[in-house]
Amino acid sequence: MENYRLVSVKIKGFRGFPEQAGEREFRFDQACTLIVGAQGGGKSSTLNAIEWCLFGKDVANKSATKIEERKNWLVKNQSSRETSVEVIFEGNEEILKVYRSDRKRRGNPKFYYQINNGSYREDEAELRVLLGVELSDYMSCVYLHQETISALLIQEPKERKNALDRLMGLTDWRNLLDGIKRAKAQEEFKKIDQEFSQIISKIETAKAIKENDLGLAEEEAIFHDIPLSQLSLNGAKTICQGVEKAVENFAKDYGLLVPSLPRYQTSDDLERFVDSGKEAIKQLRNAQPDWERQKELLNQQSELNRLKANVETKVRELNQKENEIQQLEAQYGTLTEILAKQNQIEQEELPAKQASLNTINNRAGIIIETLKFLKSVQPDQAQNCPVCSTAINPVQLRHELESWQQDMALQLKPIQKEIRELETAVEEFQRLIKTFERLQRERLDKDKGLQQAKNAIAVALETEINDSAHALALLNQAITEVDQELARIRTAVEQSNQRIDSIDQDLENIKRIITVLRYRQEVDNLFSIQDCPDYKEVEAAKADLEAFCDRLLTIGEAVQEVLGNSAKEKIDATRAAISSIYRQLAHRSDFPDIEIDPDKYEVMAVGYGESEVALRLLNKGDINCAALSIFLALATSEQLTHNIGFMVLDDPSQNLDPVHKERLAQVLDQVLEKKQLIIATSEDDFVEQLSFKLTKPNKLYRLGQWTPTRGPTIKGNG
Amino acid sequence: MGLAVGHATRTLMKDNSKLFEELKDQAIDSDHEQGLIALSEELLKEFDSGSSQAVTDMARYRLEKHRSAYKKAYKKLMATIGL
Repeated sequence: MENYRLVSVKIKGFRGFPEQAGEREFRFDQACTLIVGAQGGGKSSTLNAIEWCLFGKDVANKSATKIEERKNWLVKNQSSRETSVEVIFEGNEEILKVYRSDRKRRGNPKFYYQINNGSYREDEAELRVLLGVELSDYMSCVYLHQETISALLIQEPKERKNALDRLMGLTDWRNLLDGIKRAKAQEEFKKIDQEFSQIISKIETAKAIKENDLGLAEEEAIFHDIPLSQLSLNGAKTICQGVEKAVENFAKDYGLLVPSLPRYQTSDDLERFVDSGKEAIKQLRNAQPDWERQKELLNQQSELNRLKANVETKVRELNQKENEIQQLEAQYGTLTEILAKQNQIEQEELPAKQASLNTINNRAGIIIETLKFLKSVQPDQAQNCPVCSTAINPVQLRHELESWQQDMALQLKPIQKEIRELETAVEEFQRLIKTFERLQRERLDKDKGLQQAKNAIAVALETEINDSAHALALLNQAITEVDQELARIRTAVEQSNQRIDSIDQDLENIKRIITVLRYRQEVDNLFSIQDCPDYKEVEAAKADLEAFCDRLLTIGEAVQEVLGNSAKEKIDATRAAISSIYRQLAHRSDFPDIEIDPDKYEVMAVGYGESEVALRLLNKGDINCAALSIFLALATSEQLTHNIGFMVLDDPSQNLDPVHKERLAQVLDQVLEKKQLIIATSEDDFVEQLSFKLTKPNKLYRLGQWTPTRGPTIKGNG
Repeated sequence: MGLAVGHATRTLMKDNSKLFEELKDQAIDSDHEQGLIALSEELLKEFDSGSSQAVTDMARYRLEKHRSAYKKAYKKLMATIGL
């Protein structure tokens, strides 16, 4: 099959080609086409237009093209409304036209391709199948970009590996492998294995704990006189049988209804039997007649003792009140005597004293008035007495009156004191009377209380009560009788309780056997845990996880294998070509050759039986030569399956000295034997070298004077 | 090296047959092979529609799902054992 060669490209509104300038056409009707111009003059736009037409928006994607500068890369020319590119190929005895636009026009699709002007075909994938090339292939085997070369110069191993992968078209395999590795299936595999092995140790721990519990439960059972041979379901059933019989006998002996107990055939029945048994003996204990009588007597005993205590308290309280009254009488006399004394003071003594006081006060009043009068009379004006007309000596009279006044004051004080004392005595009597009255009221209350207590005893004993002593005597007698009956009945109750306690003990023993049986079952379960569904479920979940990890790891290994094999195939197929091109370009005397080490994945400089990592040995120019050699060899390899018959070289001579440029021109002349070449360059000396070295006809487009509205000027040499 | 017509989405896809051949070689039986092919197809699909990170994410998601199922079963077993 003949590969497709480029015939022409028409560009409008794409990057450096503004729409206003109209459609710009480049024709590639020679073996080699040179597009020459300054940086930023539209050379790369011309080459990129071909990519965009074939692969669409992915060319503006850094991760799809593996070219750093494609980040935030705009397809449309900034001053244009529409972008369109048409590329025509020739090959396989047919004309292939591919058209792409960012807008639909006159019913035409945005993208289509035609073979020999046939119908529009819009399936982009089919076009790629036809060309046998994906964007990543195109970017590694058809289109040589400076970044591809510079990546080989980077020291960082991962970047170098990526560069080689790109050159060999293996980047995707590498990325896929990295993606799988980052899932860390191997670590997950180990982790699950460790976790699962911990389950085994946990089961062993649980076994030890349960066996210990079982041992303790057996010891407990033996301690309660259960023979080892009875620590079984049958042993428990035998005890159940005994319990059933004992319950029945007890009920019959006391004339009670025989309680119904559940069956006890299986281990599960036993717990129900014990619960029902416990309930049954509780009922029997409460229902037995002696127990009832004992309860009744205990109540009676309690009531009689309460009545006794009550009457004793009431007697004591009454006696206390009477004692208080007696003590008061002994000290102050009886209430009647006190009342009499109070009366005597109030009726006789106090009025008499008051009268004396009044008499003295009257006299004193006259003397005071007289003295007032005498003070109003002039001492030198003698007057007669207004009563008796006797001449009065005022001075002498005043002296006499003052002397009387002093005498009366002396008489007044003792009388006043006596009156105060009598009043105090009256107050004291009043207080005493109140105390007597209070004590008498309290005594009356206590007496009433005692009477009530005696009445309660009379009611309780159903007899007549004369006095407190009688009440206490009767109570003591009743209490003695109750105590005697209680002593008698307690023996009977103890006997019946012993029978019930014995049944209860049997039930407790059944519980102990249940505990032993349960622990045995748990120990048995642990010994056969690996057969249980829960364990199987964990095993299955582990197996699922392991299977997934295994698949992931196996796929990773397979990808690694494919990657390695593909790399080896490509390296093997191109070894001679790489070597040949490099020898022509570099001309090194010490290490004249290079090769790619398929295991180390390194470009090696080789010379006279020795090999060394190229990066450590070669200078920048040689590294450029090495990268160009690898690219050109891979791109012209017979092993390639794509159907592209041209190569696009974007500034291939960058970083090369004039000698290397000359050699590159020579090599490219050989490449022309296999591929059509489209070369963009800004270096005139390289163009000159190419014009010397290329033996096949070539075409030259010179781009210049780029403006935002017109784009570049384009001059072709025919 | 052949072109797998009808699978023209990525360069990788045309070499899928190599991967599948390799997986067939590594598979221990037909079930294993089927599982490997199915998972690799899923991974390739994820890779085609995203990136290597999408592959990682998908694989981790599946791993976590398995791990979660394992943890659930593990807890149940521990409860049965009494720990």
